[in-house]
Amino acid sequence: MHNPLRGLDTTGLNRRQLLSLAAMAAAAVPLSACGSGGRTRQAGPTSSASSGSEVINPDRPESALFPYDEAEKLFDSLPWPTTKVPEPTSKVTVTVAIIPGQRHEVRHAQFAKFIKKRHPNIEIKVEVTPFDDFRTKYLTGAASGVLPDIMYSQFQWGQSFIKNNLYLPLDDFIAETPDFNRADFSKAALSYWERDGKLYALGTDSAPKLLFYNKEIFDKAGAKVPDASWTWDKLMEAARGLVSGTGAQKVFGFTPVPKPTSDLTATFLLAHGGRYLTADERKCVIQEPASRDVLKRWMDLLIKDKAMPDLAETQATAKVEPFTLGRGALYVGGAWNIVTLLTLPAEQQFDWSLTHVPSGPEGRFTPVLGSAFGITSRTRNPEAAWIVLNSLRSYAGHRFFLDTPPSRLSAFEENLQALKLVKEVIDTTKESLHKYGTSDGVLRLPATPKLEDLTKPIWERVMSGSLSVDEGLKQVTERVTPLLAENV
Amino acid sequence: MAIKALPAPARPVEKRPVAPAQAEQIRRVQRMTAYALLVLASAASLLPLLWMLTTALKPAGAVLEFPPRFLPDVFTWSNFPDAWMSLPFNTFLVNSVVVTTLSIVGNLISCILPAYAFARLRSRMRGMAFALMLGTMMIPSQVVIVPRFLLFSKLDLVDTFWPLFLPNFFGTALYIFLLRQFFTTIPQELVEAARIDGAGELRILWRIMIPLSKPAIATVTLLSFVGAWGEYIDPLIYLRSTENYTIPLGISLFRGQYSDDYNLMMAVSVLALIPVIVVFLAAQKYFIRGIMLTGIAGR
Amino acid sequence: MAASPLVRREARRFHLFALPWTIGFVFFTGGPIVVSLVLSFTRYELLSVPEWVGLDNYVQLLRDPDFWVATRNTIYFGAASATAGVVYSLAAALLLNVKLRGQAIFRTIIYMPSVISGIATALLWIHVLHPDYGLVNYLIGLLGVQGPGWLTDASWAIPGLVIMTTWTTGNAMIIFLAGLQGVPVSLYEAAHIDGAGWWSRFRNVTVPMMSPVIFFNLVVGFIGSLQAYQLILFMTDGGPANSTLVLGLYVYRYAFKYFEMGYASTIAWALFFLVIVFTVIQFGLARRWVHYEVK
Repeated sequence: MHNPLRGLDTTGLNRRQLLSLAAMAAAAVPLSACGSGGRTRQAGPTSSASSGSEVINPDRPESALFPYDEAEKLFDSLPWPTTKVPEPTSKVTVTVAIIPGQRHEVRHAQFAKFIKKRHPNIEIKVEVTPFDDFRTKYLTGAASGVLPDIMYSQFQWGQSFIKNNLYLPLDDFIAETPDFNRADFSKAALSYWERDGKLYALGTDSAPKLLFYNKEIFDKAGAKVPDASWTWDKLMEAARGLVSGTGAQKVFGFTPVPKPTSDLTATFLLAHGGRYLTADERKCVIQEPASRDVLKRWMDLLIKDKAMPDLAETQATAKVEPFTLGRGALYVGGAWNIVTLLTLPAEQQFDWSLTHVPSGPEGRFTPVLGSAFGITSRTRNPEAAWIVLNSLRSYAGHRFFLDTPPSRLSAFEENLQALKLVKEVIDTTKESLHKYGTSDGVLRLPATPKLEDLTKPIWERVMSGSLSVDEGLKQVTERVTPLLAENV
Repeated sequence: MAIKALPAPARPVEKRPVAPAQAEQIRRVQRMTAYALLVLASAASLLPLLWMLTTALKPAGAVLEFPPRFLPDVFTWSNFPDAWMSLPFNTFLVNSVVVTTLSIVGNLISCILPAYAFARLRSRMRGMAFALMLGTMMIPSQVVIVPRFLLFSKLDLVDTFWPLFLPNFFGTALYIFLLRQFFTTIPQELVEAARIDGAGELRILWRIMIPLSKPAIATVTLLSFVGAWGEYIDPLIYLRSTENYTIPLGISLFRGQYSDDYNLMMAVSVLALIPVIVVFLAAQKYFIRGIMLTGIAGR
Repeated sequence: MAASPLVRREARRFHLFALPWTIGFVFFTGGPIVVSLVLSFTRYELLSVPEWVGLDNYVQLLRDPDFWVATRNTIYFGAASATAGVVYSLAAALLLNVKLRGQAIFRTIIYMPSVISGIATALLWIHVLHPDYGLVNYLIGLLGVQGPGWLTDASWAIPGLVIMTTWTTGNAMIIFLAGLQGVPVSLYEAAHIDGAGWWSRFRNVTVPMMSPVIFFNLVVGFIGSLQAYQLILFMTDGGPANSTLVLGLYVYRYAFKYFEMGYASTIAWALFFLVIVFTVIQFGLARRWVHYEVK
């Protein structure tokens, strides 16, 4: 609540803009008198803030956020793509499997309706399944040969979907689509769906991780807020000085605790020249000095300085990120948190901002994460599916669905401006996505979930101090190495 | 017969018959103890309901508070209609009712007959069949999902209600076992007497077993109602079109990738509990009546 | 033994009456189970064609340290949870069977926890068992003792889960309640006239008369507890430090997280074997105490 009239900060939102944003995000609340109670579905790589929801009327789908007439106007004004792939000559149905997010469900319904103006023979049918159960449902179906035509996938699933022939390669369709500009997609994001030189899915959103900070905590401590010049050393130093309180009031210097999970390398190790696994994910190199030394320092920060949440404290916040509760000074998190923070209820709002992640001796790196849609190998109408997918993931599609941040660069600024973000935030996000954002080291091969489950108990012992970092890394290497043979 | 089965840990009554006044006092102590324990257990059981209710009444975002406050500042009653209307829950309700009703009917028809067979009809195959039946309860369900799906997809029944209720028409091991246990407690003399009177098996089942097992049949009805009403995995796997979804699937759509709309989720969960409470209250009648009916059958 | 026409007729009736189950067994339960047995000898990644690997999966299982951890945890959790569940639900059913005013309400309330969805139950109990502000530790604190870190301390995580599962045993309670209706009042009256105390009536009337039902709940309770995984998945996902990794959860991980159906089936059959051992022991013990009207 400091300095509400301070005006524009270097990189971030001032209080007034924040409030206006909150008002925008909250637009859903009053409007939702006929809809929802102002749901704050938090944004993820795939679902942006959703609010305002009604029963979807198939003839006139709309929600508080997406009135029908506006949607139609927007649809008509957008430059929808063309392709030489032939139109279906008779009625065909294209099923699209998505994950929930009211924004998407209503938007998909509107899209399904309007696309008939351009492709009268294509009927789109949307199937919605919660993220957690998505693979259970569709892989069970796939085992018996039952699949939708177009299917969602998160970055970690892409390679195993492709390896198991769930997706069709898109290259032939792209060749038939002269206007298709592949360079428009964030390279890092597309890489999750590339295999043996072929492309299998088109991205929806591509989010870099950014350094978020709580200005109120910095002000209270009289500390200087982070900026692009910060190194990881400086961040650790600052985190040490920003811890305060105990129990439910404890404020943490930094979250999250580095763990051997899929984006450990890109987030915490590359800047110091370290890695968890080699780029082909066939060898574990986490015991090498570069990784070991930096992880030791992080564990000191956790165990000696208590500047990060320990196991009990993590459990204590019942899985909610302490930063969003106003209890973390510094937080490295995905760009989707922007929307989460904007849509916090008024009494939980706090003064925050963001900047580039710190740099290390080897440079600056941040993982780029996201989701995509691909055409399944079981589709009966590959051509119609391509027409739908090409539209869905075109510039116009990105604009229509307001993916944040979008996979397509051409839609980047307009989509982020729609959130009424200040220019600096938009620029920081764009720069981190394109200048140093990477998918290198983000684990995506089949053994990943198993690695995470196997190393978790080992790392929990390291975090509790009952196992030294050296011994922990040795055990991680021993457990992980035999599994890496599965990474093909 | 007020406190016949009272297990309250009051001081045990002495072995010798006691004076009426003393007995009355002991009875009162026992009654108070029983009440105290019941209130305690109810409080523990009510807690989640209250918690669901207050969560359902919280405005969006307040569910993220830490530490959580039990009572919200404002009761957002509109969460109930909002949550219900935010997805086609009216359709989901109809679907749930259809699937649940068919499942109950299926179970009642297909469990009573085999249970009678396992309890009262002898065959060399009985022991083995019974063991096989118990065996089907012991295999973790996670590994039979895929083979079962293959069967129903071959029958082209994906995205229909058939896979959800059809198996219930062919016996559920748990309920057959349960009914069989109850059928075995019915005095054999009654059965023999009926046989001597020339009654066939169906008649024995209909005239003796079923009337004397009403509490058990009410239990099976209740359990199969609760089971089908709350079933999540099967509808998740088999249903594809939103217009075919059941209530639990609808509730799951409030779960996002990174966070969940707990308040709306709880609002619909609370509403979905109402039929369960109604059915439970209705089924109770049969437990009570059971006392009188089987009481007569005492030997 | 030469089968008399009467015996054969009864056997025919048995088969006729058991027919619905027999059909269901072939198509819906037994069939898929046989398939899963076959799959346990294959490498099957759900989307590829199953590849026969003989006993490889079973050899791998015996060498898998997490499998043994999970087996230990399963026996500990399963036995504790089933026993606590049966004791609590029997006690609750006895209480609820007493003729008192307001029983309809008490019965409904005490049954409710078992119909609440898993996710709501899990969310609630994460708070109730919270070391700092949770209700359980608050109550323990009233006794002047500092409560443990239920779900965060490896040695307290399973007891914490058992407290939770005990509280969701409403179905067993209902079954007990139904069973109690079959105990003839006259027996209690006779016992009362003999001057039997409540414990003696419980021991000598309730338990023998209810033995088939108690047996049912024990068997079913053990089967359910040994297979349990859903609440554990929500609550602790096997942690902290693998202290709540049970076989059901391990099967789930291989089946629907790693999508290795072959190995998942192998673990499932190991779990199946464990359940059978427990059940056979119970059937063996049952001969001593379960009283059936017919043999």
